[in-house]
Amino acid sequence: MDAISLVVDVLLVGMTVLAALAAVASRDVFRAVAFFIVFGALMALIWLRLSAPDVALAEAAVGAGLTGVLMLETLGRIRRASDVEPVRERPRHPAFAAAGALALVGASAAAAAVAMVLERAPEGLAPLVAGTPGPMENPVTAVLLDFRGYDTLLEIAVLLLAVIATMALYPRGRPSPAATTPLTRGPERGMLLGWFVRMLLPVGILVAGYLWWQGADAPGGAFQGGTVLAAVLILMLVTAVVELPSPRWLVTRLALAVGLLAFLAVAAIGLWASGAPLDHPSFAAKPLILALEAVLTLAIAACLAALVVGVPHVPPRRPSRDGA
Amino acid sequence: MILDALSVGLLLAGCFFFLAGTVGLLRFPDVYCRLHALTKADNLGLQLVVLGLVLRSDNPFTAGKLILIWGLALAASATIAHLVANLAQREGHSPWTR
Amino acid sequence: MNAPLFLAGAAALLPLAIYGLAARRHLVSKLIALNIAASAVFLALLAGAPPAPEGAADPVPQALALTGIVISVSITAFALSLLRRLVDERGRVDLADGDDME
Repeated sequence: MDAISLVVDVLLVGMTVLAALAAVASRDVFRAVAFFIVFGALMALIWLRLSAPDVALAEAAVGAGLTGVLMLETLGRIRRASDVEPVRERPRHPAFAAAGALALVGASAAAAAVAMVLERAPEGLAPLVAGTPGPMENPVTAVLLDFRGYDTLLEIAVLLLAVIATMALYPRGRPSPAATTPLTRGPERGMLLGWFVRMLLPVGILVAGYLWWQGADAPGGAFQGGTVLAAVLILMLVTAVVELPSPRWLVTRLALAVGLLAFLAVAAIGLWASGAPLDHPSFAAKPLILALEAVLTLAIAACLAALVVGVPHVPPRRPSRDGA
Repeated sequence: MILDALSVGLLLAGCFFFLAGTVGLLRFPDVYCRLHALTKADNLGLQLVVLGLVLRSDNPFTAGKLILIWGLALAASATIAHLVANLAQREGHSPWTR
Repeated sequence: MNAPLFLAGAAALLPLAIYGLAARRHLVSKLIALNIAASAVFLALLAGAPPAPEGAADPVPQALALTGIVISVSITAFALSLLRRLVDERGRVDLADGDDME
């Protein structure tokens, strides 16, 4: 059994490194992105082999799925937007490549040495997490929302910041073909695609809700559910099954910010009830965390969808009222 | 015991169809033939793998989830194949003839 | 669990990604390299952690990696929208000056 698992792991790591190599070495960017998506899928399998199903879920949804879609979307828009000057890559340099290979081998040897040292380390933080009473059965959710709530709070803030920064790049009235050219409209959007996307919506909501509920005591949680929901939203937006909501609407802004706001509210409740921010009062810890996670799921979905779909072109206001 | 044997048989048959589909994807002459290999053979392979796993699953919820995944993959591959073929046709790729 | 094997994988991925970051000019290629570097770091983080008694991975690095994945996608998305803006302004997808190209 050990021999079989060793063979599987060697194959898996080897394929992952090869996929990364192909993604980095390829001079055709489309090809590079395709290999990067393969790399992400293989990474998800590696997380499973390391018994980290929560990370595997996030990697499959975000690392392979969303990041790949983001890159393909950008490439597609760049291709359609205007005449873009072709990139002239540096000529291949054997000495450079050889130095890289040498560094690679050296680093691997160093890591093997470090691994030997680490082998003697104690059993890690898992017993500590398991031994601390908390409302969450799933230790990863417990760390994310109970013990290390600040990390997650700041994570949501970074996500929102990325959305705001993206919006700020496209001020009102500035035409931006590379950002706002609609992608999948016209004849290629057949009836079949529309049917598929509409059918996907209830399934996506079901899966996201399941992941959210399950996250309390098994792999799953707000981020995994949020990405599933985001994927469905993105499909609906890029296939124009629904109109792109303007980022200037209050509803849109609320949907994007509601995660951070809810988190701050929970922090305030903790401050009021037990004197420390994010210290969930024991009488309501589980419902509080579950409610927070539900809101986070929606907000993460909205933010990720906004990042991928981008900002629709907003026509300028009537002249000379815009002070900015 | 019989269940185990049946399940292993189904999984192996599924792997065979995946292999056949991949060979078709790599060796067939044009977009349409490749789509044909990819959707037909791989969907059958996936169906056999899902069936094999359903036989091994320990409760009906796992089985239900597996079947849901299968249905989603089926719908997605049909849609994607349609989109790719549509695009290929509009870009003027004519089907391969002998 | 073959932790040293996965650590070696991480150690192979990181220099590979740094090479890509330095050698490629297309900014999307640079972003791919950056994402691979991030994955390598998460892999080292999880594979390097001692396994928990029940065989599941240590939940703390798992939570760190989860957070890191979401931060990476945020950064990638922002960088890509910067790139779109660059395409609008300059009509190019790299940062070469023009005089350093022979």
